[in-house]
Amino acid sequence: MTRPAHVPEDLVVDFDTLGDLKIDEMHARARGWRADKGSVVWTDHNGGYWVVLGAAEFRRGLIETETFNSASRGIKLVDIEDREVLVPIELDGPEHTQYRRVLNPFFAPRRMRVLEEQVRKVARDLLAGIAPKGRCDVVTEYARPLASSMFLSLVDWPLEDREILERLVSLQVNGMPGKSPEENQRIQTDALHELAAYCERQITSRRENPRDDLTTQLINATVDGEPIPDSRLVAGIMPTLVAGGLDTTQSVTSQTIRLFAEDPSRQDYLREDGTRLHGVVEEILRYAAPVGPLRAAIQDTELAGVSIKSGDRLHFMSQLANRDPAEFDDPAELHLDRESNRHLSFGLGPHRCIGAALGRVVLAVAIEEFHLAIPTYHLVHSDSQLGAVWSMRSVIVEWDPDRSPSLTQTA
Amino acid sequence: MRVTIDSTKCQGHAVCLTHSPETFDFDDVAGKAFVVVADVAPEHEDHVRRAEANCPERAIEIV
Ligand code: HEM
Ligand code: SF4
Repeated sequence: MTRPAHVPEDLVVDFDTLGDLKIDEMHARARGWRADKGSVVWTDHNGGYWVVLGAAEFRRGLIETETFNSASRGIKLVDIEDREVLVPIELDGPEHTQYRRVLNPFFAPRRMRVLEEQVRKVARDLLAGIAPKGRCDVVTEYARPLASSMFLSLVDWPLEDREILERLVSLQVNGMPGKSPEENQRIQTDALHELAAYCERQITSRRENPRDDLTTQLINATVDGEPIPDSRLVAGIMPTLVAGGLDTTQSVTSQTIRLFAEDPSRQDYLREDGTRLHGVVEEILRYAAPVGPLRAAIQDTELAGVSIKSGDRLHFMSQLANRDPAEFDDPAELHLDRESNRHLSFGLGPHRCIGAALGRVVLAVAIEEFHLAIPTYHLVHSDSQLGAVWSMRSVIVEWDPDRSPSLTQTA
Repeated sequence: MRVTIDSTKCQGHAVCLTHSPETFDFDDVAGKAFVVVADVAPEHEDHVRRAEANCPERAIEIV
């Protein structure tokens, strides 16, 4: 693809989010871009789009929906042709609001207290198996099963289906590393279809045996007086919920344990006073943001003095805006006692992450239970990747299984 | 201390409820917070200040 003429040469950076770059390397590069080029830069990779690094520009972009929309955002890192619109993430305006009103109650902060207990039980069961071993891969043995159990509890699907779901989501979101873009397009398309087929089975089973749960209520919900079409339920809403919730939560949980294993004084900080947990979760969310919203400009505008034309695509990178020195003191450092923290990890504006309260609960439970079950631990090895969701490939940690953990439990 | 939420700005992050459950409540369908006790008791002022400082949408106003 040729670069549009209005993109100045000196704003172009070499950034391939599907390339083989680690999270820390990426942050080091982005610091350079910010210093040399400013808050808005351009990449030719993956179809060509603007990369937004600044917190102020992020705020404007996500709140000014008359200039930047979601429906035509189209940075499909690998595009899947002929698919349903993802709901609500690719809707705009009143239609988006209607779907949010249907979905909001399931994610209300109150409801999260019930889910919290279910997730806590899963965390304890997993840790009972892990603690005596003295070593684990946090990603596969803890963060991933916890995130998928959270999702299954949310929608009330069988917890035994955990592994089916994990495989499909991982393929659909990131494809298979090492495959060509064409192969991955097919792999991701197949995974999306398989996921839809799985969702369809759940919907059919609720039609036959209605229950008091999210799936049944979605079947019975109306938008504009009409029921939601099945095709939209199984291929638009459900995949968005699955894909939005699993890899994100898993990534932040895994990154947390890595950061704490690298510097055990962070573990001590939390163990000394369990009431610090809430602030810790917020700072981790700022530091380890895994995704950023995608938009398209629907009219000509300017962002940080850069001319944006209608039709341009933009990636508002929470990951990088969260490290904007204009908004955060000492942004490249993890300060677990940060007081004011308006991080952008869940986005802003009408598309603000619907699962934010759930994500926060799962993170808090994941971190708290890990430190209740595992004594001081150390990092053996870790590996990360970029992609649609920045994540850890592995986080291997070790501890002395004969020592007892200590964490002053939160009230 | 008096506190208000600008409901055109609020997008329901619910950060305020965590900091000051005495002051804020949540409309589950609209997905937005609202103020239940606008006249903040002195012992809750700190909580409300923290809510204001952490509201991502800058929707909370202390007057
Ligand atoms: C730490 C965990 C999470 C992070 C960092 C995160 C991040 C985000 C971000 C940045 C957006 C905004 C996208 C945009 O503006 O285009 C978003 C939207 C969304 N998230 Fe999350 N998310 C997390 C957890 C979850 C969970 C647990 C769920 C539910 C199971 C979820 C479901 C969604 C949905 C459905 C949307 C679309 C909302 C809309 O378009 O109105 N997320 N998320
Ligand atoms: S923190 Fe701000 S945006 Fe979030 S619910 Fe409270 S007032 Fe609304």
